[in-house]
Amino acid sequence: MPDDLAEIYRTTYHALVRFLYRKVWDAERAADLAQEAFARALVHRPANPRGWLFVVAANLARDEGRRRLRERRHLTLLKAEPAATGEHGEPEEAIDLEARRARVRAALEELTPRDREVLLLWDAGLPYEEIAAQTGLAPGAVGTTLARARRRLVEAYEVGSEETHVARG
Amino acid sequence: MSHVDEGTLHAYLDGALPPAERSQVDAHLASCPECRERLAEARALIARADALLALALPAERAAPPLHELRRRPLWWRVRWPIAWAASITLAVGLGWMLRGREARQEFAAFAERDTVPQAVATLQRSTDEPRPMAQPHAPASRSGPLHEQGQGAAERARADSLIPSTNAASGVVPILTPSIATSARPPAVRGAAPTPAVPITVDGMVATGAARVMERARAEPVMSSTWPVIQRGSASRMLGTEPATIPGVPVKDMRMSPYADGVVLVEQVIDSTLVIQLFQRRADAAAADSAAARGYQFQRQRAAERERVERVERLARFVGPLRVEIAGPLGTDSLSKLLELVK
Repeated sequence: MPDDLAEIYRTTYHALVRFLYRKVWDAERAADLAQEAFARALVHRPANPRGWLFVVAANLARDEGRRRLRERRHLTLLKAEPAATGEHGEPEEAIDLEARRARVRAALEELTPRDREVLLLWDAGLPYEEIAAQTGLAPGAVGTTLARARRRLVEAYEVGSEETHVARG
Repeated sequence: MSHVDEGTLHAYLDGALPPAERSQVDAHLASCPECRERLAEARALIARADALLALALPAERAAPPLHELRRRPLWWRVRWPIAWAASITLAVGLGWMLRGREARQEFAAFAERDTVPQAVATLQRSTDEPRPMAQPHAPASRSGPLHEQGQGAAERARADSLIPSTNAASGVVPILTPSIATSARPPAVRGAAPTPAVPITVDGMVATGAARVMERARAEPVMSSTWPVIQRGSASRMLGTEPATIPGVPVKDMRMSPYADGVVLVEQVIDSTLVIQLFQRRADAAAADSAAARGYQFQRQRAAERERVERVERLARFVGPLRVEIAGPLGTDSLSKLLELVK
């Protein structure tokens, strides 16, 4: 079992960070929470570590979200003044990347919670059966849900792009 | 077989169909140009969605070794931008745990007399908050040590020994002095992160694991948005010396108190959600300006209550000619070590 968890840590850690990042949108917090999930797995020794880890991670991210709500004012203060320590202007490319990342985030947030969860779990590498087990979907419904989530993500992203660029034709 | 629905096409492309169903789809696709076209569309959609998700990736960092996760409390995993000494001696002679309204009143009074170098540990918490793990001897210590504070180290040490708890969740601030090294400690409130019985030195660790993520979550820094931002030069002029800072931690900003009491606030960023606040003023002003000090305490508490700041841990001490109070959503252990580093 310990070896099992070590192997899952090796193969799944980054996927879990990625999964969490798209929920908390802070790379450091995502890494902290992923590590917390693994630390708990070391204590609990779940039978299905990978599925268990994603459930715990989703719960941690939800708690984090509630905390963020309370801290929003403070965070706003922080984010509004990031340059106090002296960052020299970012290259345009980085700004563009940041803008696109923000649009992806906005697009993801337009999905229904279940569609988003299914998409993020799939992107984190979970197979259909585990996604079904975690979200309560019938295994046969995962493909349909994923198809819808992908289409809505792309549509929402493109609508967001049109809003920020000159409207087409 | 009828046309393949979109969900099945996605499952097919995701490699998630059972073999029997997969070969059915294969057979249908071979004979149905319409479905082949829809398959190509689904493939493009998947590629597009994957590409969008790839835009939202965190910068990848190496994972710490798994076995290291076993013993670390979460808050330790805050990447600490300071190279900690191999062994850190904890603050000696730290003072008292105060809590509740009466403690705050006493703290204001205490601020008047606080003219000799010494440190005080306080924990602000709302008076209506339940005290989950009240220590049986804590109430005795609440009124005791404060009145004794001017009467010498021996009594102080005795008072300290009344408050040996180390768990922030209990609402009791750990007071780490040599005098408690041999005194009985209450059983660890949280078994997963045991603190050494003699918390004098901590090898390479920020602290001994009293705080947890939930403590971090509940503790929030004093909202400083009403404090005007000032330049370092102005801060130096107000203080008569360079403002004290924690070396190696980026300074987010310097601010001045809106209460015209000469207090300068330096905010330093440890990570994106963790700001340490250093309130500082001239040590002589702390005595001369006691009325203002009281007002400052009072108004700040009112502000804090308005902002629903429930728990901010604070420590204070003299650093050169300054009286520096450090506050942040961290365990008292780590705050005291940060305070140790203040220059």
